[in-house]
Amino acid sequence: MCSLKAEDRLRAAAGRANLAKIQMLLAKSKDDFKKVYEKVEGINLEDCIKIFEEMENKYGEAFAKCNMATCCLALKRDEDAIKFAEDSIKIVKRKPDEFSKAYAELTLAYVMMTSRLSDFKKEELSDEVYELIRDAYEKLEKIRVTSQFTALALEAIAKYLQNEINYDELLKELDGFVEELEFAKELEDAGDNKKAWIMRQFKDAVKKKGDIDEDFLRLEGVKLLLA
Amino acid sequence: MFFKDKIINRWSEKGYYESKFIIMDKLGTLTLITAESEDDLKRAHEYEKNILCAL
Repeated sequence: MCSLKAEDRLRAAAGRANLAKIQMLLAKSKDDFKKVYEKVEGINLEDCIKIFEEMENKYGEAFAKCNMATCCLALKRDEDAIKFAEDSIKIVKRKPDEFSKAYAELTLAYVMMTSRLSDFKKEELSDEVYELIRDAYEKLEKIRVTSQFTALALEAIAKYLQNEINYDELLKELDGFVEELEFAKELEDAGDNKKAWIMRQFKDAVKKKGDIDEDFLRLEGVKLLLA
Repeated sequence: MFFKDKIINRWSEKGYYESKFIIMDKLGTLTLITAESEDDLKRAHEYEKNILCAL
């Protein structure tokens, strides 16, 4: 990998980070998430982060660290997950791209909520988690992207976990987000189809499971962050 | 002569792999964005893997 030109190393890092995202979307078990760490053509996610750091590609570094946080959460490496999510917020904090900031905020909110689920259910951490989700939502709404429904879905999950809404209300909310995303997809010919699909998959998984528990949040819920 | 060899003759090996990378990169990104099923994601996975092979 080191023998490659700088430009090619960046391309390889971007390619590997995208591949990690797809691997996580396809993951069915903890073992599948373990594979995200493995090297593909001599490069893994940690190498990606190093390359982005060396090349001072801040957005790439933040994106790779969010991926890493998501993967660590699935593998119950909670301290690492929080560290990577916090790092990615620090990296994009002073950058102009609102989407990257919102993406990092949603990742941290989700990691905090899931890694300390019992505390969150007792309404500890609520202020921090809801503030992150709302900040992210405002940014996403301002730039008019459909990722705002991811923020709303996380808020609905948080409310369900704290018994503010019941199971039927949660399903109704998720149904609404799927409809909105399907509608947005029809409006744009070459739009982002995968968001609607991921949201539908999540809704179906909640229906099948009948509840949301910690393992479900770690292995299924994390996929909302990758939409 | 295969298509690949023709391109290499005309634009060099570097040119061939650069073109392949760009095509795979675009295919991977578009397939991922427009994914509506697990099969679409698997195709995007293959394209992204090929990007790394092309480097």
